Amino acid sequence: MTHFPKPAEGSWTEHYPHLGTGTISYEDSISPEYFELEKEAIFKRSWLNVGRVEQVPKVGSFFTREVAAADTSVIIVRDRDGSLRAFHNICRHRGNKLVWTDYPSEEVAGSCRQFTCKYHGWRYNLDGNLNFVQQEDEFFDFDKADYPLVPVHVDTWEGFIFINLAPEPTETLAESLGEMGTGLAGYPFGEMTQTFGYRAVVNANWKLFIDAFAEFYHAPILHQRQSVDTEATKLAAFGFEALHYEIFGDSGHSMVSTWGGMSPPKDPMMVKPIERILRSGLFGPWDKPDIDLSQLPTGLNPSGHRAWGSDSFQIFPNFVILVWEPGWYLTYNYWPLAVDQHLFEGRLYFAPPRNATDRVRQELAAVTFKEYALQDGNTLEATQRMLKSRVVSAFPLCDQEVLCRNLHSVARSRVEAYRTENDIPVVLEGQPR
Amino acid sequence: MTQLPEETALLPEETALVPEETALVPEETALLPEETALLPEEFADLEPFAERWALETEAERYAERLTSSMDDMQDLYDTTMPRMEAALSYLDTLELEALPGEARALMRLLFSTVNISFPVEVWKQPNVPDSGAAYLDLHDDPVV
Repeated sequence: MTHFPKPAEGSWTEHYPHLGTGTISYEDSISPEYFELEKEAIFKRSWLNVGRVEQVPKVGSFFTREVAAADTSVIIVRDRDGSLRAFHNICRHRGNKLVWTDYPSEEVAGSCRQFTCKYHGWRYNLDGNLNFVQQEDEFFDFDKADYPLVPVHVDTWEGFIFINLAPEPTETLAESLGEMGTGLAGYPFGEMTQTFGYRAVVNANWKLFIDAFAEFYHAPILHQRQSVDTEATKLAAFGFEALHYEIFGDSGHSMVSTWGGMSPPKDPMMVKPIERILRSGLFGPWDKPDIDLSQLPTGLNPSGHRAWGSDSFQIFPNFVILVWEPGWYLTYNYWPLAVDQHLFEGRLYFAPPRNATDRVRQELAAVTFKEYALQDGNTLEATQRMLKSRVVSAFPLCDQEVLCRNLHSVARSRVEAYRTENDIPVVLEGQPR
Repeated sequence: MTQLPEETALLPEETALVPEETALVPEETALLPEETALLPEEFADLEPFAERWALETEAERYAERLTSSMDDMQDLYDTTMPRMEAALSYLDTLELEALPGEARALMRLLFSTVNISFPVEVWKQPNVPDSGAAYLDLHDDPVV
Protein backbone atom coordinates (compact mmCIF):
# COMPACT_ATOMS: atom_id res chain seq x y z
CA MET A 1 0.00 0.00 0.00
CA THR A 2 1.28 3.43 -0.93
CA HIS A 3 1.13 6.04 1.81
CA PHE A 4 3.00 8.78 -0.01
CA PRO A 5 2.54 9.76 -3.68
CA LYS A 6 4.96 8.49 -6.31
CA PRO A 7 5.85 10.06 -9.68
CA ALA A 8 3.43 9.81 -12.62
CA GLU A 9 5.44 6.91 -14.09
CA GLY A 10 4.20 4.80 -11.18
CA SER A 11 7.51 4.41 -9.35
CA TRP A 12 10.61 6.38 -8.41
CA THR A 13 12.79 3.97 -10.35
CA GLU A 14 10.81 4.33 -13.58
CA HIS A 15 10.95 8.11 -13.15
CA TYR A 16 14.65 7.63 -13.99
CA PRO A 17 14.28 5.25 -16.95
CA HIS A 18 18.02 4.94 -17.62
CA LEU A 19 18.31 2.93 -14.40
CA GLY A 20 16.00 0.16 -15.58
CA THR A 21 14.14 -2.11 -13.20
CA GLY A 22 16.10 -5.33 -13.74
CA THR A 23 18.23 -7.28 -11.32
CA ILE A 24 21.72 -6.00 -10.57
CA SER A 25 25.05 -7.74 -10.09
CA TYR A 26 27.38 -7.02 -7.18
CA GLU A 27 30.45 -8.14 -9.08
CA ASP A 28 31.45 -4.45 -8.80
CA SER A 29 31.81 -4.96 -5.03
CA ILE A 30 33.91 -8.14 -5.09
CA SER A 31 36.20 -7.86 -8.13
CA PRO A 32 39.72 -6.71 -7.13
CA GLU A 33 40.43 -5.70 -10.75
CA TYR A 34 37.33 -3.51 -10.84
CA PHE A 35 38.31 -1.93 -7.53
CA GLU A 36 41.67 -0.91 -9.01
CA LEU A 37 39.81 0.83 -11.84
CA GLU A 38 37.50 2.58 -9.36
CA LYS A 39 40.56 4.06 -7.66
CA GLU A 40 41.76 5.55 -10.95
CA ALA A 41 38.42 6.48 -12.48
CA ILE A 42 36.67 7.75 -9.36
CA PHE A 43 38.89 8.47 -6.37
CA LYS A 44 41.81 10.02 -8.24
CA ARG A 45 39.56 12.46 -10.11
CA SER A 46 36.41 13.27 -8.10
CA TRP A 47 35.94 16.01 -5.52
CA LEU A 48 36.32 14.29 -2.14
CA ASN A 49 35.14 15.76 1.14
CA VAL A 50 37.96 15.70 3.67
CA GLY A 51 36.56 17.79 6.51
CA ARG A 52 35.14 21.16 7.52
CA VAL A 53 36.61 24.63 7.81
CA GLU A 54 36.15 24.55 11.61
CA GLN A 55 39.08 22.09 11.64
CA VAL A 56 41.45 24.76 10.29
CA PRO A 57 40.33 27.91 12.14
CA LYS A 58 43.53 29.99 12.00
CA VAL A 59 46.74 30.54 10.06
CA GLY A 60 48.88 27.42 10.38
CA SER A 61 46.02 25.08 11.39
CA PHE A 62 46.41 21.85 9.47
CA PHE A 63 45.26 18.25 9.30
CA THR A 64 46.30 15.28 7.21
CA ARG A 65 44.04 12.89 5.36
CA GLU A 66 44.97 9.38 4.30
CA VAL A 67 43.42 8.64 0.91
CA ALA A 68 44.20 4.96 0.44
CA ALA A 69 41.95 4.80 -2.64
CA ALA A 70 44.35 7.21 -4.34
CA ASP A 71 47.47 5.78 -2.68
CA THR A 72 48.36 9.08 -1.05
CA SER A 73 48.20 11.25 2.05
CA VAL A 74 47.20 14.90 1.81
CA ILE A 75 47.94 17.91 4.04
CA ILE A 76 45.20 20.55 4.30
CA VAL A 77 46.40 23.84 5.82
CA ARG A 78 45.29 27.45 6.37
CA ASP A 79 47.90 29.66 4.66
CA ARG A 80 49.08 33.11 5.84
CA ASP A 81 46.69 34.89 3.49
CA GLY A 82 43.77 32.99 5.03
CA SER A 83 43.24 30.72 2.03
CA LEU A 84 43.12 26.95 2.23
CA ARG A 85 45.85 24.92 0.60
CA ALA A 86 46.35 21.21 0.09
CA PHE A 87 49.51 19.27 -0.74
CA HIS A 88 50.54 15.70 -1.20
CA ASN A 89 52.14 14.79 2.12
CA ILE A 90 55.55 13.96 0.66
CA CYS A 91 58.95 15.62 1.14
CA ARG A 92 60.60 16.56 -2.18
CA HIS A 93 64.00 15.34 -1.00
CA ARG A 94 63.77 11.55 -0.64
CA GLY A 95 60.04 10.97 -0.48
CA ASN A 96 59.52 10.74 3.25
CA LYS A 97 56.03 11.41 4.53
CA LEU A 98 56.27 15.04 5.62
CA VAL A 99 53.67 15.38 8.39
CA TRP A 100 53.02 12.51 10.80
CA THR A 101 53.54 11.59 14.45
CA ASP A 102 54.58 8.21 15.84
CA TYR A 103 52.62 6.10 13.33
CA PRO A 104 53.27 6.76 9.63
CA SER A 105 49.83 5.41 8.65
CA GLU A 106 47.83 7.62 11.02
CA GLU A 107 46.28 11.02 10.43
CA VAL A 108 47.36 14.01 12.51
CA ALA A 109 46.11 17.55 13.12
CA GLY A 110 47.61 20.62 14.72
CA SER A 111 49.02 24.03 14.11
CA CYS A 112 52.45 25.12 12.87
CA ARG A 113 54.40 27.93 11.19
CA GLN A 114 56.04 25.67 8.63
CA PHE A 115 56.39 21.97 7.85
CA THR A 116 59.70 20.33 8.75
CA CYS A 117 60.63 16.90 7.45
CA LYS A 118 61.69 14.51 10.23
CA TYR A 119 64.27 12.86 8.01
CA HIS A 120 66.76 15.58 6.95
CA GLY A 121 65.09 18.73 8.22
CA TRP A 122 63.87 20.26 4.95
CA ARG A 123 61.32 22.96 5.70
CA TYR A 124 58.34 24.19 3.71
CA ASN A 125 56.23 27.33 4.10
CA LEU A 126 52.46 27.02 4.53
CA ASP A 127 52.20 27.91 0.82
CA GLY A 128 54.28 24.83 0.00
CA ASN A 129 57.49 26.61 -0.97
CA LEU A 130 60.72 25.02 0.19
CA ASN A 131 62.45 27.54 2.49
CA PHE A 132 65.32 25.61 4.09
CA VAL A 133 67.60 22.80 3.04
CA GLN A 134 70.10 21.31 5.47
CA GLN A 135 73.65 21.79 4.03
CA GLU A 136 72.20 23.27 0.87
CA ASP A 137 75.67 23.82 -0.67
CA GLU A 138 76.25 20.05 -0.73
CA PHE A 139 73.61 19.70 -3.48
CA PHE A 140 74.27 20.02 -7.21
CA ASP A 141 72.79 22.72 -9.49
CA PHE A 142 70.24 23.27 -6.78
CA ASP A 143 67.46 25.88 -6.55
CA LYS A 144 64.96 25.60 -3.72
CA ALA A 145 62.31 27.15 -5.98
CA ASP A 146 62.35 23.93 -8.03
CA TYR A 147 61.19 21.78 -5.11
CA PRO A 148 57.89 23.02 -3.66
CA LEU A 149 55.33 20.61 -2.19
CA VAL A 150 53.10 19.03 -4.83
CA PRO A 151 49.79 20.91 -4.69
CA VAL A 152 46.35 19.29 -4.61
CA HIS A 153 43.22 21.13 -5.78
CA VAL A 154 41.16 22.24 -2.79
CA ASP A 155 37.90 24.19 -2.51
CA THR A 156 35.04 24.65 -0.07
CA TRP A 157 31.26 24.57 -0.27
CA GLU A 158 29.16 25.68 2.72
CA GLY A 159 32.19 25.15 4.97
CA PHE A 160 32.86 21.60 3.73
CA ILE A 161 36.41 21.14 2.42
CA PHE A 162 36.88 19.08 -0.74
CA ILE A 163 40.04 18.02 -2.54
CA ASN A 164 40.50 16.75 -6.08
CA LEU A 165 43.58 14.66 -6.84
CA ALA A 166 43.38 15.05 -10.63
CA PRO A 167 46.18 17.19 -12.13
CA GLU A 168 43.41 19.23 -13.82
CA PRO A 169 39.89 18.49 -12.53
CA THR A 170 37.34 18.27 -15.34
CA GLU A 171 34.91 20.44 -13.35
CA THR A 172 35.01 22.86 -10.45
CA LEU A 173 33.59 21.86 -7.08
CA ALA A 174 30.57 24.13 -7.67
CA GLU A 175 29.98 22.55 -11.09
CA SER A 176 30.34 19.10 -9.61
CA LEU A 177 27.82 19.77 -6.82
CA GLY A 178 25.49 21.48 -9.29
CA GLU A 179 21.79 21.68 -8.50
CA MET A 180 22.16 19.62 -5.33
CA GLY A 181 24.73 22.08 -3.99
CA THR A 182 22.68 25.19 -4.69
CA GLY A 183 19.59 23.54 -3.19
CA LEU A 184 21.32 22.96 0.15
CA ALA A 185 23.23 26.25 0.27
CA GLY A 186 22.40 28.48 3.20
CA TYR A 187 21.69 25.78 5.77
CA PRO A 188 23.39 26.87 9.05
CA PHE A 189 26.01 24.08 8.97
CA GLY A 190 28.61 26.47 10.39
CA GLU A 191 26.59 27.07 13.57
CA MET A 192 26.47 23.38 14.48
CA THR A 193 29.95 23.05 15.90
CA GLN A 194 29.46 20.50 18.67
CA THR A 195 30.66 17.28 17.05
CA PHE A 196 30.85 13.58 17.87
CA GLY A 197 33.18 11.78 15.45
CA TYR A 198 33.00 8.00 15.04
CA ARG A 199 35.23 5.77 13.00
CA ALA A 200 35.55 2.05 12.22
CA VAL A 201 37.12 -0.21 9.65
CA VAL A 202 34.31 -2.23 8.06
CA ASN A 203 35.06 -5.42 6.14
CA ALA A 204 32.81 -4.62 3.20
CA ASN A 205 33.08 -2.79 -0.10
CA TRP A 206 32.58 0.98 0.31
CA LYS A 207 29.47 1.03 -1.90
CA LEU A 208 27.68 -1.51 0.28
CA PHE A 209 27.64 0.84 3.28
CA ILE A 210 26.47 3.74 1.15
CA ASP A 211 23.70 1.43 -0.10
CA ALA A 212 22.76 0.58 3.47
CA PHE A 213 22.24 4.21 4.45
CA ALA A 214 20.71 5.17 1.07
CA GLU A 215 17.65 2.99 1.67
CA PHE A 216 15.52 2.77 4.79
CA TYR A 217 13.68 -0.34 3.54
CA HIS A 218 15.93 -2.24 5.99
CA ALA A 219 15.20 -0.07 9.01
CA PRO A 220 11.98 -1.60 10.42
CA ILE A 221 13.51 -5.09 10.12
CA LEU A 222 17.23 -4.95 10.90
CA HIS A 223 16.69 -2.50 13.73
CA GLN A 224 13.41 -3.84 15.07
CA ARG A 225 14.96 -4.89 18.36
CA GLN A 226 15.90 -1.26 18.99
CA SER A 227 12.28 -0.25 19.50
CA VAL A 228 9.78 -1.06 22.21
CA ASP A 229 7.97 -4.29 21.23
CA THR A 230 4.58 -2.95 20.17
CA GLU A 231 6.22 -0.23 18.14
CA ALA A 232 8.59 -2.69 16.43
CA THR A 233 5.65 -4.80 15.24
CA LYS A 234 3.84 -1.74 13.94
CA LEU A 235 6.93 -0.43 12.14
CA ALA A 236 7.59 -3.80 10.49
CA ALA A 237 3.97 -4.04 9.31
CA PHE A 238 4.08 -0.52 7.88
CA GLY A 239 7.47 -0.99 6.22
CA PHE A 240 9.19 2.05 4.80
CA GLU A 241 8.27 4.55 2.14
CA ALA A 242 10.20 7.71 1.43
CA LEU A 243 8.52 11.06 0.89
CA HIS A 244 10.71 11.81 -2.09
CA TYR A 245 13.76 10.66 -4.06
CA GLU A 246 15.86 12.81 -6.34
CA ILE A 247 18.66 11.78 -8.66
CA PHE A 248 20.66 14.77 -9.87
CA GLY A 249 21.38 13.97 -13.53
CA ASP A 250 24.57 12.00 -14.13
CA SER A 251 26.42 13.79 -11.30
CA GLY A 252 26.10 10.70 -9.12
CA HIS A 253 24.49 12.80 -6.38
CA SER A 254 21.09 11.82 -5.05
CA MET A 255 18.82 12.38 -2.09
CA VAL A 256 16.06 10.68 -0.13
CA SER A 257 13.52 12.59 1.94
CA THR A 258 11.93 10.82 4.88
CA TRP A 259 9.04 11.35 7.26
CA GLY A 260 9.93 11.72 10.92
CA GLY A 261 7.33 10.62 13.39
CA MET A 262 9.73 10.28 16.32
CA SER A 263 10.94 13.74 17.10
CA PRO A 264 8.89 14.15 19.18
CA PRO A 265 6.74 11.02 18.78
CA LYS A 266 2.96 11.39 18.54
CA ASP A 267 2.58 9.00 21.44
CA PRO A 268 5.35 9.09 24.06
CA MET A 269 4.76 5.39 24.78
CA MET A 270 6.20 4.65 21.33
CA VAL A 271 9.69 5.31 22.64
CA LYS A 272 11.93 4.04 25.42
CA PRO A 273 11.68 5.48 28.95
CA ILE A 274 15.01 7.30 28.78
CA GLU A 275 13.94 8.97 25.54
CA ARG A 276 10.74 10.16 27.19
CA ILE A 277 12.65 11.59 30.14
CA LEU A 278 15.41 13.22 28.09
CA ARG A 279 13.32 14.15 25.02
CA SER A 280 15.93 12.81 22.63
CA GLY A 281 16.77 9.67 20.67
CA LEU A 282 17.90 8.38 17.29
CA PHE A 283 16.28 11.31 15.52
CA GLY A 284 18.09 13.75 17.80
CA PRO A 285 16.97 16.07 20.60
CA TRP A 286 13.24 16.78 20.17
CA ASP A 287 13.51 20.49 20.91
CA LYS A 288 15.15 22.81 18.42
CA PRO A 289 18.36 24.70 19.23
CA ASP A 290 18.72 28.51 19.24
CA ILE A 291 19.46 28.59 15.52
CA ASP A 292 17.15 30.20 13.00
CA LEU A 293 15.66 27.33 11.00
CA SER A 294 12.55 29.18 9.84
CA GLN A 295 13.79 29.57 6.26
CA LEU A 296 15.14 26.24 5.09
CA PRO A 297 17.00 26.00 1.77
CA THR A 298 14.79 24.93 -1.13
CA GLY A 299 16.61 21.60 -1.47
CA LEU A 300 15.34 20.41 1.93
CA ASN A 301 11.95 18.72 2.28
CA PRO A 302 11.40 18.90 -1.50
CA SER A 303 7.89 17.42 -1.25
CA GLY A 304 6.93 20.08 1.28
CA HIS A 305 5.44 17.42 3.55
CA ARG A 306 4.34 18.51 7.02
CA ALA A 307 5.64 15.23 8.52
CA TRP A 308 9.12 15.76 7.10
CA GLY A 309 11.84 14.24 9.30
CA SER A 310 15.17 14.12 7.50
CA ASP A 311 16.90 14.37 4.13
CA SER A 312 19.92 12.31 3.21
CA PHE A 313 22.14 13.61 0.40
CA GLN A 314 24.52 11.12 -1.23
CA ILE A 315 27.35 13.20 -2.67
CA PHE A 316 29.27 11.14 -5.21
CA PRO A 317 31.41 9.28 -4.65
CA ASN A 318 31.75 8.74 -0.89
CA PHE A 319 30.17 11.51 1.15
CA VAL A 320 26.73 11.80 2.75
CA ILE A 321 25.06 14.73 4.53
CA LEU A 322 21.95 13.88 6.52
CA VAL A 323 19.93 16.87 7.73
CA TRP A 324 17.41 16.25 10.53
CA GLU A 325 14.30 18.35 10.90
CA PRO A 326 14.92 19.10 14.62
CA GLY A 327 18.03 21.09 13.71
CA TRP A 328 21.18 18.99 13.55
CA TYR A 329 23.03 16.99 10.93
CA LEU A 330 25.21 13.96 10.31
CA THR A 331 27.96 13.28 7.80
CA TYR A 332 29.31 9.95 6.60
CA ASN A 333 32.56 9.42 4.70
CA TYR A 334 33.42 6.04 3.23
CA TRP A 335 37.14 5.60 2.47
CA PRO A 336 37.94 2.46 0.47
CA LEU A 337 40.92 0.48 1.75
CA ALA A 338 40.50 -2.63 -0.42
CA VAL A 339 37.77 -4.18 -2.53
CA ASP A 340 36.30 -5.73 0.61
CA GLN A 341 37.23 -3.13 3.25
CA HIS A 342 36.71 0.54 3.97
CA LEU A 343 37.10 3.10 6.73
CA PHE A 344 33.70 4.38 7.81
CA GLU A 345 33.48 7.79 9.46
CA GLY A 346 30.29 9.14 10.96
CA ARG A 347 30.07 12.58 12.52
CA LEU A 348 27.17 14.19 14.38
CA TYR A 349 26.92 18.00 14.42
CA PHE A 350 24.81 19.85 16.98
CA ALA A 351 24.45 23.42 18.13
CA PRO A 352 26.80 24.00 21.08
CA PRO A 353 24.95 22.82 24.24
CA ARG A 354 23.53 25.68 26.32
CA ASN A 355 23.45 23.61 29.48
CA ALA A 356 23.77 20.11 30.93
CA THR A 357 20.34 19.06 29.66
CA ASP A 358 21.28 19.89 26.07
CA ARG A 359 24.54 18.00 26.48
CA VAL A 360 22.92 14.84 27.93
CA ARG A 361 20.33 14.90 25.14
CA GLN A 362 23.15 15.00 22.60
CA GLU A 363 24.85 12.10 24.37
CA LEU A 364 21.68 10.00 24.00
CA ALA A 365 21.43 10.82 20.28
CA ALA A 366 25.13 9.97 19.77
CA VAL A 367 25.01 6.71 21.75
CA THR A 368 21.86 5.66 19.88
CA PHE A 369 23.49 6.45 16.53
CA LYS A 370 26.37 4.17 17.49
CA GLU A 371 24.08 1.22 18.32
CA TYR A 372 22.36 1.43 14.95
CA ALA A 373 25.59 1.88 13.01
CA LEU A 374 27.13 -1.16 14.74
CA GLN A 375 24.27 -3.32 13.49
CA ASP A 376 24.52 -1.85 10.01
CA GLY A 377 28.29 -2.31 9.81
CA ASN A 378 28.24 -5.90 11.00
CA THR A 379 25.47 -6.82 8.58
CA LEU A 380 27.55 -5.49 5.70
CA GLU A 381 30.36 -7.83 6.62
CA ALA A 382 27.86 -10.68 6.38
CA THR A 383 26.78 -9.41 2.96
CA GLN A 384 30.32 -9.08 1.66
CA ARG A 385 31.20 -12.62 2.74
CA MET A 386 28.34 -14.15 0.79
CA LEU A 387 28.57 -11.93 -2.30
CA LYS A 388 32.11 -13.23 -2.63
CA SER A 389 30.78 -16.78 -3.01
CA ARG A 390 29.33 -15.73 -6.41
CA VAL A 391 26.58 -18.32 -5.82
CA VAL A 392 24.08 -15.66 -6.86
CA SER A 393 24.78 -12.95 -9.40
CA ALA A 394 21.39 -11.33 -10.05
CA PHE A 395 19.79 -9.38 -7.22
CA PRO A 396 16.38 -7.66 -7.38
CA LEU A 397 16.09 -4.11 -6.00
CA CYS A 398 12.77 -2.59 -5.00
CA ASP A 399 11.59 0.95 -5.62
CA GLN A 400 12.77 2.09 -2.17
CA GLU A 401 16.29 1.01 -3.19
CA VAL A 402 16.46 3.28 -6.22
CA LEU A 403 19.48 5.19 -4.86
CA CYS A 404 21.50 1.96 -4.53
CA ARG A 405 20.76 1.33 -8.19
CA ASN A 406 21.93 4.83 -9.03
CA LEU A 407 25.22 4.61 -7.10
CA HIS A 408 26.33 1.39 -8.76
CA SER A 409 25.20 2.67 -12.15
CA VAL A 410 27.13 5.96 -11.91
CA ALA A 411 30.27 4.32 -10.50
CA ARG A 412 30.18 1.79 -13.32
CA SER A 413 29.71 4.52 -15.95
CA ARG A 414 32.75 6.40 -14.63
CA VAL A 415 34.85 3.24 -14.67
CA GLU A 416 33.73 2.33 -18.20
CA ALA A 417 34.48 5.84 -19.49
CA TYR A 418 37.96 5.72 -17.96
CA ARG A 419 38.56 2.20 -19.30
CA THR A 420 37.58 3.20 -22.83
CA GLU A 421 39.67 6.39 -22.79
CA ASN A 422 42.73 4.46 -21.69
CA ASP A 423 42.24 1.34 -23.83
CA ILE A 424 41.99 -0.92 -20.80
CA PRO A 425 40.47 -4.38 -21.43
CA VAL A 426 36.97 -5.16 -20.14
CA VAL A 427 36.89 -6.07 -16.45
CA LEU A 428 33.16 -6.51 -15.85
CA GLU A 429 30.88 -8.03 -18.49
CA GLY A 430 27.66 -6.32 -19.51
CA GLN A 431 26.79 -2.69 -19.93
CA PRO A 432 26.44 -0.21 -17.11
CA ARG A 433 22.84 0.75 -16.45
CA MET B 1 43.74 5.90 48.40
CA THR B 2 45.58 3.51 50.65
CA GLN B 3 47.38 2.23 47.58
CA LEU B 4 49.22 5.48 47.05
CA PRO B 5 52.28 4.75 49.20
CA GLU B 6 52.67 1.41 47.40
CA GLU B 7 52.61 3.09 44.01
CA THR B 8 55.16 5.55 45.21
CA ALA B 9 57.31 2.67 46.30
CA LEU B 10 57.23 1.31 42.78
CA LEU B 11 58.96 4.41 41.47
CA PRO B 12 62.04 4.73 43.66
CA GLU B 13 64.11 6.76 41.22
CA GLU B 14 61.53 9.43 40.52
CA THR B 15 60.68 9.57 44.17
CA ALA B 16 64.29 10.14 44.98
CA LEU B 17 64.35 13.12 42.62
CA VAL B 18 61.37 14.82 44.21
CA PRO B 19 61.55 13.92 47.86
CA GLU B 20 59.52 16.90 49.13
CA GLU B 21 56.51 16.44 46.88
CA THR B 22 56.44 12.74 47.47
CA ALA B 23 56.43 13.33 51.16
CA LEU B 24 53.31 15.46 50.78
CA VAL B 25 51.24 12.73 49.17
CA PRO B 26 50.80 10.37 52.09
CA GLU B 27 50.03 13.31 54.37
CA GLU B 28 47.29 14.65 52.10
CA THR B 29 45.88 11.20 51.76
CA ALA B 30 45.80 10.92 55.48
CA LEU B 31 43.79 14.14 55.73
CA LEU B 32 41.00 12.86 53.53
CA PRO B 33 38.24 10.74 55.01
CA GLU B 34 38.37 7.08 54.06
CA GLU B 35 35.60 7.49 51.47
CA THR B 36 35.75 10.83 49.70
CA ALA B 37 32.48 11.78 48.04
CA LEU B 38 32.78 12.16 44.27
CA LEU B 39 29.28 13.56 43.76
CA PRO B 40 27.50 16.66 45.09
CA GLU B 41 26.01 16.10 48.57
CA GLU B 42 22.46 16.30 47.21
CA PHE B 43 23.14 13.14 45.23
CA ALA B 44 24.70 11.04 47.99
CA ASP B 45 22.24 8.27 47.09
CA LEU B 46 24.06 7.83 43.73
CA GLU B 47 27.50 7.79 45.35
CA PRO B 48 27.86 3.95 45.38
CA PHE B 49 27.89 4.04 41.58
CA ALA B 50 30.21 7.00 41.08
CA GLU B 51 33.63 5.41 41.29
CA ARG B 52 32.77 2.71 38.77
CA TRP B 53 30.56 4.66 36.37
CA ALA B 54 31.52 8.37 36.50
CA LEU B 55 33.95 7.84 33.62
CA GLU B 56 35.45 10.58 31.52
CA THR B 57 35.15 9.22 27.98
CA GLU B 58 32.52 7.37 25.99
CA ALA B 59 35.15 4.72 25.24
CA GLU B 60 35.57 4.00 28.97
CA ARG B 61 31.81 3.97 29.59
CA TYR B 62 31.18 1.65 26.67
CA ALA B 63 34.01 -0.69 27.72
CA GLU B 64 32.62 -0.82 31.28
CA ARG B 65 29.20 -1.67 29.88
CA LEU B 66 30.49 -4.54 27.74
CA THR B 67 32.12 -6.22 30.74
CA SER B 68 29.27 -5.61 33.20
CA SER B 69 26.49 -7.96 34.23
CA MET B 70 22.88 -7.08 33.48
CA ASP B 71 22.21 -7.04 37.23
CA ASP B 72 24.84 -4.36 37.78
CA MET B 73 23.51 -2.24 34.93
CA GLN B 74 19.94 -2.69 36.14
CA ASP B 75 21.05 -1.41 39.58
CA LEU B 76 22.63 1.68 38.07
CA TYR B 77 19.58 2.29 35.89
CA ASP B 78 17.04 1.79 38.69
CA THR B 79 18.90 4.19 40.96
CA THR B 80 19.79 6.96 38.53
CA MET B 81 16.70 7.10 36.33
CA PRO B 82 14.35 8.39 39.07
CA ARG B 83 17.01 11.03 39.86
CA MET B 84 17.63 12.09 36.26
CA GLU B 85 15.38 15.15 36.30
CA ALA B 86 16.67 16.35 39.67
CA ALA B 87 20.25 15.88 38.53
CA LEU B 88 19.66 17.87 35.36
CA SER B 89 17.91 20.67 37.27
CA TYR B 90 20.92 20.85 39.56
CA LEU B 91 23.43 20.81 36.71
CA ASP B 92 21.52 23.34 34.62
CA THR B 93 22.14 26.00 37.27
CA LEU B 94 25.87 25.68 36.58
CA GLU B 95 28.05 26.87 33.71
CA LEU B 96 28.56 23.81 31.49
CA GLU B 97 32.04 24.92 30.47
CA ALA B 98 33.15 25.32 34.09
CA LEU B 99 31.53 22.50 36.05
CA PRO B 100 33.06 21.86 39.49
CA GLY B 101 34.53 18.37 39.99
CA GLU B 102 31.51 16.82 41.71
CA ALA B 103 29.08 18.21 39.15
CA ARG B 104 31.32 16.88 36.40
CA ALA B 105 31.25 13.43 38.01
CA LEU B 106 27.45 13.59 38.24
CA MET B 107 27.28 14.50 34.55
CA ARG B 108 29.49 11.54 33.67
CA LEU B 109 27.32 9.25 35.76
CA LEU B 110 24.32 10.41 33.72
CA PHE B 111 26.26 9.68 30.53
CA SER B 112 26.83 6.13 31.78
CA THR B 113 23.12 5.79 32.47
CA VAL B 114 22.48 6.87 28.88
CA ASN B 115 25.08 4.36 27.70
CA ILE B 116 23.50 1.39 29.49
CA SER B 117 19.90 2.35 28.69
CA PHE B 118 19.60 0.23 25.54
CA PRO B 119 20.88 -2.95 27.26
CA VAL B 120 18.53 -2.44 30.20
CA GLU B 121 15.44 -1.13 28.42
CA VAL B 122 15.52 -3.25 25.30
CA TRP B 123 18.09 -5.97 24.68
CA LYS B 124 18.74 -7.51 28.13
CA GLN B 125 22.33 -7.98 27.00
CA PRO B 126 25.31 -5.59 27.05
CA ASN B 127 25.85 -5.27 23.30
CA VAL B 128 23.51 -4.53 20.45
CA PRO B 129 22.14 -7.76 18.87
CA ASP B 130 24.06 -9.08 15.87
CA SER B 131 26.95 -6.67 16.34
CA GLY B 132 29.54 -9.38 17.06
CA ALA B 133 33.06 -8.00 16.92
CA ALA B 134 31.97 -4.80 15.15
CA TYR B 135 33.24 -1.63 16.77
CA LEU B 136 32.75 2.08 16.27
CA ASP B 137 35.22 4.31 18.08
CA LEU B 138 34.27 7.79 19.18
CA HIS B 139 37.63 9.37 18.36
CA ASP B 140 36.20 12.89 18.57
CA ASP B 141 34.41 12.90 21.94
CA PRO B 142 33.23 16.22 23.41
CA VAL B 143 34.41 15.20 26.86
CA VAL B 144 32.83 16.91 29.87
